[in-house]
Amino acid sequence: MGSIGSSAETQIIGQRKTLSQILHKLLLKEGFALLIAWIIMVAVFTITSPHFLNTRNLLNIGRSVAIMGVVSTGVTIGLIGGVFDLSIAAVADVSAVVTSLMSLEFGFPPVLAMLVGLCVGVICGLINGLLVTKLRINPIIGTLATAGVFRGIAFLLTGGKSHAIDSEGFRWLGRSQVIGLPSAVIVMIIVMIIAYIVLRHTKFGRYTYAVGGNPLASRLAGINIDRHRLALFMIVAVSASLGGLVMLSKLGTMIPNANAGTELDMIAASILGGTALAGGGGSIQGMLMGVLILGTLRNGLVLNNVNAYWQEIASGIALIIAVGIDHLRTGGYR
Amino acid sequence: MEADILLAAKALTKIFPGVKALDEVDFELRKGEIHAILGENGAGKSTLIKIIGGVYKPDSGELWVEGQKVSINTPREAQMLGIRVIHQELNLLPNLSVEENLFLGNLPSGKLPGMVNWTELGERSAEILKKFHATINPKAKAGELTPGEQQLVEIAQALTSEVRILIMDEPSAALSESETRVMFDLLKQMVQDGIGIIYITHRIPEILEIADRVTVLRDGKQIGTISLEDTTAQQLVQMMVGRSLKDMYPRNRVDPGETLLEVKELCSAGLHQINLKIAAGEVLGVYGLMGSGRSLLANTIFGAVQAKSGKIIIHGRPVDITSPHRAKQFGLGYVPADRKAEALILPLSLRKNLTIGSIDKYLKSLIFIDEKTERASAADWIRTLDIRSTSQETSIGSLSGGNQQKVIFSRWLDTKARILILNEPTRGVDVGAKVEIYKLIDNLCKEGCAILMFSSEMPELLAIADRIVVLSSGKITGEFHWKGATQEKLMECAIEGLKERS
Repeated sequence: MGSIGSSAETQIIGQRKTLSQILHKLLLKEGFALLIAWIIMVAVFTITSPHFLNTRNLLNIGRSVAIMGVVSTGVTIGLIGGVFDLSIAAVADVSAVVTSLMSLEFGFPPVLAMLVGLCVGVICGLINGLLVTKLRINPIIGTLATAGVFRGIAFLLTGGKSHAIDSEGFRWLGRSQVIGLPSAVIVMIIVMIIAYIVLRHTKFGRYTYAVGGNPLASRLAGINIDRHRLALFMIVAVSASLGGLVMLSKLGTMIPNANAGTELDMIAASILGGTALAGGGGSIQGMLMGVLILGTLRNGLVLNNVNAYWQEIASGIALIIAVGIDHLRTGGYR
Repeated sequence: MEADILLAAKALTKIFPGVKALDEVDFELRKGEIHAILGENGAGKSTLIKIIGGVYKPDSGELWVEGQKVSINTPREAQMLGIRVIHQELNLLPNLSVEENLFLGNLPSGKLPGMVNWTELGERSAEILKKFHATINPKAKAGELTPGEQQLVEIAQALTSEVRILIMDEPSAALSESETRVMFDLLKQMVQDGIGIIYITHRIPEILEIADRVTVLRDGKQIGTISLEDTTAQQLVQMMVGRSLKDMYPRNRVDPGETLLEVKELCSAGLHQINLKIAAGEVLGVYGLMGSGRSLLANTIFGAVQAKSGKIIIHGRPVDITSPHRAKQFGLGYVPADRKAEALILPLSLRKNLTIGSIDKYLKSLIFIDEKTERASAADWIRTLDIRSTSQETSIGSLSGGNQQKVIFSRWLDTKARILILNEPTRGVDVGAKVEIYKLIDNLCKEGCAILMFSSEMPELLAIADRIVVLSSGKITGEFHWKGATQEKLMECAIEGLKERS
């Protein structure tokens, strides 16, 4: 009798333990804790604002985070590989400016003009990468410097003026609908899926985690880490330049500083999504949650008529909370 | 008797994730004695002194200092009790002068608050340094001294404050023979003043020379504490290793085959005219003291550091190794000395650490990793090398040192490297894993690999290597066949370069 009772008891305890273990494991999974935070946020805003939970508003959120999502994807891949780039906003702008000029001044067809814009991104990334891998300049300093250079070029090329660029050929990228979804959101989803596959299933992805996790050990394991970092800088810059093109299409106007100041948002979304600032850790699904949380927070606050200045503060606090929770787990800054 | 006991540790136990570093260890230090702690790497010596020195807290057990039960929570509290620890790594501030280092923390004050009385500092430093019969300039920057001189300054530093218990962790590792002699004289002088000294080492000859008693640790357990009068070197080895020397170093030498690697006149900043030759089936040992250029040579051959001139010839063909990436293509593999900094990629799993060097083998459609074959191959290596881990997805950091090292070996075996450069391959590895690594080296030789083994542990080099070259100040100062090599001969060559320099 007694033995039956005790064995039943241990079974229950055993089950409880596995349940808490499962929960614990899930919470450690990339992005899961953030998913729960996001769901709570959605619930709160649904209660506080009648305009929050409907298709139109959700699509609005999608539209508003699409560019951030595209650029943050590149930023995330870069950060995982230990590559930090502060020139992304400037790269986005200079790419958009060149694209517009190709179309307005030289009469390039829109798609070709956009390809030239992306090439500008490749070149910018190459310059950043060479500064870091050949001249051994600290990435933060190097890309801070090139940010100034790229931004200056964007202003020089336009004389600081804005131009309308609103032909049909430009509109499709950021301002049309495809199967009921904003095209910008589609672009974001495609970019994220590609990035997810690259990080999870390719040699390039494996090397990215390794090089970010321990560059010296990766080098001594026979990885050509300089070549890899160069590639990472180019990926970050191309994603920035694609973001710039989506922005150009969305605005319908070429503004030489349309993206100025957004670089920290892009990096913040990535960090919020659990990317390790020191390199070697992070995921696309986590970053997606980071982007969604920032976008939903801003949207919800607007719908609740919160002062725009408070929105900035709220984004900052969200970042501190998310990173703080993460550091309880990993030990944090030393 | 009781009154004579300076320090007593009772049933100290310390558990780290996955390993019992200390298991109910008792230890006792008397006034005026030099008590040696003997043990292999990973035996628990460092853990024991870190507990006494206030760095770690024991999970159970008691500490008594001069008859009083104490709990030592910080290094500062240890210092207040008169305990000073001289660590293995040099802890001087390289940009400060010797005298500033000596009195750091209690510099003599000058007339104005916050000012230093340099005259007094100079006098007191000179007085202390005189005891060492060493010609160290007190005004020199600490970073400009030889490692041996720095070690002496650290000992001198301990003497500038009230010390009753002096703990020295492998103090002779960086010292030349004459410097060791000076230090021994000094230690004998100090115990006459009633200080107790705990001397940690894995070198038996030193113990025979200066210790009064010795406590032997192995795998965290206390094997015994005996008086030096009642023991012999052989008995100590037996106690330390826990097995006979033949079991410790399984080595079946084979006739060397064709020459696989040849280094000719290799020069770089810090290396002069290095010539080496290794054949298939051969272990070439390289011995050198700290700062002799051991790691530099290993890194240069592997392409991690650029050579200034010289040739590297593989399979009779001159090759240009400009990076580790290239070295790998020529069939070289490298197990670095500092596992955590240079080999492990901590955020990644065991499997991903294992296959990172050979990922090209597992690609399908050019860029995608075929995880199925990758897993199968990792499982093969885990079985072959008996890597103990719950699964291949475990994070590499949670494995014991020996298992981590086996993963790094597998990394290169999976690239089919035929020439392996091993830098301190058994550092931070427990005795059991050491034997397994020696066995692995022996097997690789049988399979026709050429092995270049850098080590600072003479017993392992003497037992494993077929030939040993000695490196000193970046030059090769001696070469021995294993039959003709002895510890004394190696040491003589190892300090030869130092003499030339000074």
